[in-house]
Amino acid sequence: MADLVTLKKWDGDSASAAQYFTTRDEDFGDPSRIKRIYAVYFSYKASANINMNALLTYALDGGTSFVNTYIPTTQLGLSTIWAKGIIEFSTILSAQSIRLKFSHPSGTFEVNEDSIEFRGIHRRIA
Amino acid sequence: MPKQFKKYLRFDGGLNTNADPRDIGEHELSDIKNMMVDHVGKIRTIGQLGDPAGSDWDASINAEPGYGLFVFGSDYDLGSPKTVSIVSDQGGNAGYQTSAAHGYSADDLVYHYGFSNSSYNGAKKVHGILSPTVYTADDLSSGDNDSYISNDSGNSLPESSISLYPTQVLVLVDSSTGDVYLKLNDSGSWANEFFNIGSSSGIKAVFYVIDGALRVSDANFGTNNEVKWLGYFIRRHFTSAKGDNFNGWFPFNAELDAPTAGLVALNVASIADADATNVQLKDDGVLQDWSIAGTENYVAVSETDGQARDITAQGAGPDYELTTDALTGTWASDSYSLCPPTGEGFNIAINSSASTGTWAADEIEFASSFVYDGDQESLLFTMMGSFTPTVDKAVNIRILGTKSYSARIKGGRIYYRLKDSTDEWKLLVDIDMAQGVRGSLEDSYLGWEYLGDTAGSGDAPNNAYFDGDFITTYDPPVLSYEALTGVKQDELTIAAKFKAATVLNRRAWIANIAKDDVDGTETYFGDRIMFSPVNQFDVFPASFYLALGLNDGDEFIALEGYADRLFAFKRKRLFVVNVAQGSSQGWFVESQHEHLGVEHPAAVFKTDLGLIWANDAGCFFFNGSQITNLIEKQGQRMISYSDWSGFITKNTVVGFEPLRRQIIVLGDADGATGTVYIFDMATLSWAKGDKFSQAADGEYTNFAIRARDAYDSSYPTELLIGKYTS
Repeated sequence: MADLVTLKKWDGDSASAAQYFTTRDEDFGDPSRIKRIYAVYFSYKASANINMNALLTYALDGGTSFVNTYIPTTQLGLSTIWAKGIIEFSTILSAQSIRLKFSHPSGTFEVNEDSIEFRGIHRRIA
Repeated sequence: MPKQFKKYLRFDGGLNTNADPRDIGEHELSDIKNMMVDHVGKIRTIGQLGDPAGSDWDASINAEPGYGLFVFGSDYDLGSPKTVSIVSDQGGNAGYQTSAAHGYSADDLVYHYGFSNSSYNGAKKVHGILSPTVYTADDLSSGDNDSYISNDSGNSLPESSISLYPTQVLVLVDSSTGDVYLKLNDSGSWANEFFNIGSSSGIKAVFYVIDGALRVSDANFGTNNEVKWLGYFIRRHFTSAKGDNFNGWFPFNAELDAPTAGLVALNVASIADADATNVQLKDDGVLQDWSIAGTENYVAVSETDGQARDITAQGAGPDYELTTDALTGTWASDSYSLCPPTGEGFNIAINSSASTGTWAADEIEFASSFVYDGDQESLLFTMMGSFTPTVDKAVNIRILGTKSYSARIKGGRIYYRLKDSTDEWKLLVDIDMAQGVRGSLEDSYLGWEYLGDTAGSGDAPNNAYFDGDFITTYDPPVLSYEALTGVKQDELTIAAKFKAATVLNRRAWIANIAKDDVDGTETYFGDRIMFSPVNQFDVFPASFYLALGLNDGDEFIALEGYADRLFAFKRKRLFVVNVAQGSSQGWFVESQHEHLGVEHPAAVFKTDLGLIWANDAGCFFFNGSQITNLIEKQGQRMISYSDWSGFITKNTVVGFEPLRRQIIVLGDADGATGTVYIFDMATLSWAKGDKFSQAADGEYTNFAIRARDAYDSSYPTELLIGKYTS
């Protein structure tokens, strides 16, 4: 029996997908000291609502396991224009470095920029 | 210390999995899936495989991973094929029935395709009109009436329906049956198999196209598979109203067949002495020993009686009488002409003129050729018979032909040389199938004449015989076949099968060759690149080749041309040959690159910006002056060795989306994961996704670009690929 060959095109327009991206492991330019990390700010568009702790996970100190500990479950609404996303950690993180992972399980998703609110402290890494 | 903000304003550095996540740039990403960075300043969801503009994109065919799809532009569309059913046996002949009035007339040329029984397919001539919706047809190549075999259905493409309309022709090849399917933007579903390249399965179709004509070869060298040619003709054979008028798409073997018949007589047309038995034709001293066994289908035509009869035997000397099928009427004292078998060649009638010339009284022999599209000339067929001119006299030559000839044939040539010599064949007559005949390439043509209404019988067709007016040649011409064609007159074959092909600088280039040797055995040359003479895209003389990397444990996989350079890919090695010079003497290997070869021809893709290819060493781009490895940026690798080498397979295929300037690298066209890396030419960054994933046995063809339709904006430029599950 013959195969069924269906011709498809590559459509560069965003389409629903389980998706994510991961930033670099950020040590804030000072690898020798511990930093307090308070919040993540970003601009986004999304075709579906998503909880904060599903959208953002993180790995600390060069780790490869991403967790959502201390990230609220508050829902971020869908938006077709750039919306402000503010995720404050319920407990301030202390780490030498942090890597962020933005995920969206379906639909379309865009991020324009993000920033991490932190404070360097006078404590060396041990 | 005060609170601070670490800002990430751009992501266009894309994926970097080679450096440690702590060491990558601020605008780079340590991982990504189904997102891409084709805009500076933001990251967004990746695209997807979608339906092309138009409809009916499904085709029930078999495919091989990374093979089978091709798109080319043409000035002609497919017209409006009629659906035809064979439902009636018309006295042993197939009755072709259309659902609506077919509108055909006798002798209309049509093209049949899509019938299950292959004898119903091909170029046909309408034979009889049985009703407004039923007709019978003759096969154009054999001239035989299509006999009834069984009920069947297919398509009939009328010549008159085809209009001038630039379009894109999409091609899919069934890897099991060899059937070739065509689809145009506006033609609805895939046309039923338009033609066939052979019955050996496992076909890995490779293509090249030039001047609107397509060539298809099986890179698997299936025993029964041939290199095929598909093109569109508006061509007339014989200017008389009784000639053939070709107007449509016709497929043929790409090989330029030489004539297979043709004989030389004195002026046979003046023979006026037939035997009283009415089946023996003779003319003392005129007929020669042509060794006619009776199967050749040479035809004797009596213009006086309007009869044509197949010659079934030839007697011994000195008369060499001809026996024909039973005659109607009496041919005694009639003139008759000796015509060649239908479409197989030309006969010539020749005698010495009373006019003064410079011919010597040396016995000469003759050879004929066919001239095809693009003025490509076949090899020579040595004709039966000879002639000895009268010294210092001119010679008169007359050409006889029997339609129908292949639509691809544009003309022919007759050459001469001393009999039984090894001299060069020299041009004696140039034949144009429409305009007539002439004695040299500078002369004007003398038109064809119709030999009159003739009733044939058996293998002698009706109303099919033409001759050219007499040409008088005063001096022996000197222009040789080799000088005219650039091909040696003793070439064994000018055809070849190939696994890779491209067109560059008005030459066709083929590589990894199968070519017949001296005893007709197919011989393989994996290290060989052959090239055609300029503008002769189906001619590959044995001496027109480059041998690169001989006996190196490798073979050529792909060819592409860009910026006067031929890129010849073996599995492990790449040769860049500069072919800017018109002559092969000026060509040279500009560079040779180890580890830059490819495992699959579809791993190479030509774009308007340059060439792109991928292998386990990277994804490479040649922009016309230099080769860049795109998985490196400023000397630093962006995709880790383990990620890339684990991604690339022997079925990696590459495409380029020209509107977004994105390179798509599909790691495995024969796998389920469907992982693709996408390189954005604007941001020079990589992203990754799995949008090609499908069932465990999911597979893909190669990529191809369908260009924007010039007349219909609803068909934009698109990067296409065939998706299937085996």
